[in-house]
Amino acid sequence: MSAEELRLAGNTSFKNGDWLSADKKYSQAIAIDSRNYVLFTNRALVRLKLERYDDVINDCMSAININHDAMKGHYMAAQALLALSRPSEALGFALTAYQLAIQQQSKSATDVANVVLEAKKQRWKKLEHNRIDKDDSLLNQMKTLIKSDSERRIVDLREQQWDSTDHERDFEAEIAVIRDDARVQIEELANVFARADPQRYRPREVPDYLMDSISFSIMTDPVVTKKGHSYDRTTIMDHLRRSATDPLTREPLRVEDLRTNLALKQACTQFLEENAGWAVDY
Amino acid sequence: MFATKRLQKELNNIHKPLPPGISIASTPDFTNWKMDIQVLDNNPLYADQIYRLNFKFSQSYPIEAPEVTFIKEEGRDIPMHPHIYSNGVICLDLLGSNWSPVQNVESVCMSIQSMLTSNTKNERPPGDDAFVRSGYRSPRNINFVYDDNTV
Repeated sequence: MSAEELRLAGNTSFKNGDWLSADKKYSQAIAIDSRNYVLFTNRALVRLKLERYDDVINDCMSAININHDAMKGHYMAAQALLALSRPSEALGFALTAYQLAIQQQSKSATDVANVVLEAKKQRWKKLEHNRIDKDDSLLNQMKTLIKSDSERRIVDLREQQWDSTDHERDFEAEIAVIRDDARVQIEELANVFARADPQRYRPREVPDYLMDSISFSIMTDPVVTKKGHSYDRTTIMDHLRRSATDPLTREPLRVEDLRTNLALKQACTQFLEENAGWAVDY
Repeated sequence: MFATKRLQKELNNIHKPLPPGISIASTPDFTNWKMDIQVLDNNPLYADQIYRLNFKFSQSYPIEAPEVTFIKEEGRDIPMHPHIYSNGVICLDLLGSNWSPVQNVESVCMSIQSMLTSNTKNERPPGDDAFVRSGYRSPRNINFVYDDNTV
């Protein structure tokens, strides 16, 4: 069979959900023709299904080396890297995939944009995780000090109680006071930490001006219409495919009329840098 | 697509006060919601009546319009209106050719509410019997003739 016939056979296996057979067919095709990037992206998709993420990345790199504009190569590499918890690398590939998807007017642009967001979110979580660990270790150390101090005082009191002949003295009440003091101290300590880092405690809301009024999600690539309204590029393109009108004014609107809203894009990017962990799902 | 996420957001917003005369009847999932509407002025055609709207959302909502019809349930009739067929199908350009994804459930309810408020004719659209017999339920597949823009 020729490489092309093997590719078609692989596609058929893929449609039938037979990943292993599809993988084999594409591999045979690649053995004959190793210059066709589509064979690599097809095999990468199969291997994504098989959760062989390292192999996905290798295939994507081969596809990209042959044709740098292979959108699916960048896209699937990003997905595989996300699955391997390598969000920073994933983000690089996802952003390139997104640019290519827009250039090529691909219908997957929305899905690619979601992978971009997911990568930002995972990266934020990783950074946030490190930060919280560091802060909390200091907080926890101090909490432990307060607790051990109060326990030491309780032990002292118990010893005095053992030796004491003073029946008037209420040792249980004194112990209760020590416990209460410790609890209040720990609460105050937590408050001080909270005040030192208000970022982490401020209300989690995305401002309206960063929200796309079609998807109700934060924008990542805002574009502005002739009338000055901004939408996310992927959602307004979805709308324009169905109806070439301005959603608010219903005047004619074409893709060519849209302009990137650079200032708003910067605002969205910065907001996501600081809040991606929750803002992506907001 | 983002239909589910967007509807979740609409639901969150809707729990803040809705405009007078509009309320949620039920929102079991993100494919089907029921809303109740009332006409608030003294229009004798609709006095003391509550009507129930059925919203059906596709995966492509809000790029695609929701399918909105009145439904007959206990205590809920189909309002009399020259643009509303007796099987509940509503002739409203907003829900068809003039849909825009910046519309939402609340704004659709308000449009339908005002369509009732301003009506004075106690009648059904021409050809109502034939239309209902034809069994059309899905308003999106019908090419309505918007011959009467004064209503």
